[in-house]
Amino acid sequence: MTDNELLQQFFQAARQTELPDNGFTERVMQQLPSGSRSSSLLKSRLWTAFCIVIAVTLFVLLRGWELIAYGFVMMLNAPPTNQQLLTMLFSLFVAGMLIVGEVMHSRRLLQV
Amino acid sequence: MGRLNDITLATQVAMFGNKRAFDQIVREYQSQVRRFFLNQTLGDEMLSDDLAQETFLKAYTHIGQYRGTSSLLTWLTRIAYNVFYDYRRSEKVKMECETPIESMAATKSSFLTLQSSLHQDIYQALSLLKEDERTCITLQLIDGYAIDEIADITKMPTGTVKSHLKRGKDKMANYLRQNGYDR
Repeated sequence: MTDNELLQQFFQAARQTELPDNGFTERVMQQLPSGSRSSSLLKSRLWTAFCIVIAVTLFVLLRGWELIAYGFVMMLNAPPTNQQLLTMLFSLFVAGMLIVGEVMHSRRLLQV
Repeated sequence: MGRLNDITLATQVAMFGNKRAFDQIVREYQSQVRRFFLNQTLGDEMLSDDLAQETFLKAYTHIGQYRGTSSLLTWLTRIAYNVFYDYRRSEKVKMECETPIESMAATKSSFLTLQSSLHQDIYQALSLLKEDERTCITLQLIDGYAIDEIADITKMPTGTVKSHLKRGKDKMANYLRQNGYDR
């Protein structure tokens, strides 16, 4: 019998051992840190609200709608080049990701 | 449990704080994680359960870091190894003055879950190994991990894992032959 076969045979019983739960899972579930999780979510929610307020304020102060209208007029007058089109698509993708992230974040808040 | 199911459950916990999904994870993997600690502590059930509990609590708070590149069990075993490593470091001073871990199998027999004499034999044999050798040996021969997976779990270089396995296997084989297990 080789060393490897000897060791495989010796550890066979240990490999097949399945430990019964005996309330272990319940003890773990009772210890889960719900408090710190909701406090970190609250901080996250406050930070999101702060960012939204800043964005809206800047949009109003800098007359964001004029910038958007100007962009549309420019696009109609001169069709965008491939590079500009790529930049626009990338911006839309980033904006989309931010919105999706925000929706998922809100769903998580509802869960807690 | 498949990798896809692992990722689905981990995502549910990370994104929506779904505790039922985490309950399912603990139920599925508690046996392997507790067995890992039983092997490292040479059968100390109370200590193993405490460390396993700590492992799952860490997994819950860091579940967002699970990327799905390895199985959830491998990821949990990596956390378990780190938990045991931290425990070992914090207890090192105490253990130098008190009973070393190598003799725990004899002194804590009342805590042994696995009452069969064969399991006591296994812990007795494992007590001959250094801690790193024991970790590598049990991860390979009991938990069935490949050498690169053991290196990933323990963050040891592959060559070091191979050396630990070679030395550990030589010691174990000698012990087993001396005690008539080859007959």
